[in-house]
Amino acid sequence: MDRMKRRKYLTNKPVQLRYMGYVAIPLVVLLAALYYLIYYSVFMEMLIPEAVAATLLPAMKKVNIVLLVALPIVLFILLRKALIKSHRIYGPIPRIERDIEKVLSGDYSVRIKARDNDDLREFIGKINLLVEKIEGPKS
Amino acid sequence: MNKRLKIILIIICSVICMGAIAYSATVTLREFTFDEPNALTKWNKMVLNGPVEYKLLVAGDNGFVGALSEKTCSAMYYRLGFKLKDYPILSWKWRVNRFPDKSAAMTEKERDDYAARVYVIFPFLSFSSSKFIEYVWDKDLPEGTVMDSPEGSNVKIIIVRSGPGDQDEWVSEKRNVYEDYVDAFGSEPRWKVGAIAIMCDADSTGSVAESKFDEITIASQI
Repeated sequence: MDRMKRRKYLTNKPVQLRYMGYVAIPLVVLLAALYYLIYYSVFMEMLIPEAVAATLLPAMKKVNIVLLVALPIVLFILLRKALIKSHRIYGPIPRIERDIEKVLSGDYSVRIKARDNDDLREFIGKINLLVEKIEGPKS
Repeated sequence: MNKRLKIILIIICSVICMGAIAYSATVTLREFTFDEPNALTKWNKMVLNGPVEYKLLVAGDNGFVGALSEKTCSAMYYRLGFKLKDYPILSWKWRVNRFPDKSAAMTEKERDDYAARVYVIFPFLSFSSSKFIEYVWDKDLPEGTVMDSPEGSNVKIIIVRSGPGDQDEWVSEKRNVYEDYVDAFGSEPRWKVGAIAIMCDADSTGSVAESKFDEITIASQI
């Protein structure tokens, strides 16, 4: 199969955004829960306001600064990964639909192209095989 | 008056008397006499800036907690869980042997050293949403002073005892914490009391402080 370069990653906007949400939202929720759990546990261990103000709050301030810088970067990387991963599934679908339309209108010479990393590569290969069989032996 | 009526009247009077006795009786939730040798085992130590020496001392039959801070700051706290409205009375005995030297203290933070404090802690979700009341014995500040701690407006310092006092005489305190809370914060407590604590510190001034605590009691009413 020919090598094709990905140009547009967001081919199925609602589905892919949902997919990215499935990755990002639980991660952010988990991180927030973990952050709070650590903060609350330490706070409940300290309890004395002078101790909390002298040690826990400055420490949390540092953690907050790190999170403020690191979290957007981590989220960006994760969302980008999620977008690329989701595109490996949803990217070829419009092309498959378009080419099947052509086959349905009688053009059996059509072969659907797939990229090396597409998750539906094998499936596309099977469709191409089916079309080839329908087309019959070439004269 | 016939016999049956007499009996009914006696029963009614008895019920009213018993109700009145029950209503006026003080129910003690917790009493820390520090007479047992292991009296401090359930108290947690929180070291802030070097350990303060908290130890059980005995004078005759009476046990108590002695606290000695040498440029250090740490507290002892005891976890509880009760509604302040049900047990609003906190009483204790204390005496101060040495006050921290605040003569060179310039800032509010540096002046935040007290030989004896008793805390009532209302933890909830986070530090800023929690409330704290500190009952303090200070040498200089006038009794009845209510002020914000340098740690924030959710930490109220109430000066309950002022002046040097007698080093050998126990001084008894009895506070209605519920009323103090309402006066200090301007609203009723929304959270349960999560802990009480005692502290002696002299780290900010770099001096020495020494105090004693005894008979800390939490009760329903006076």
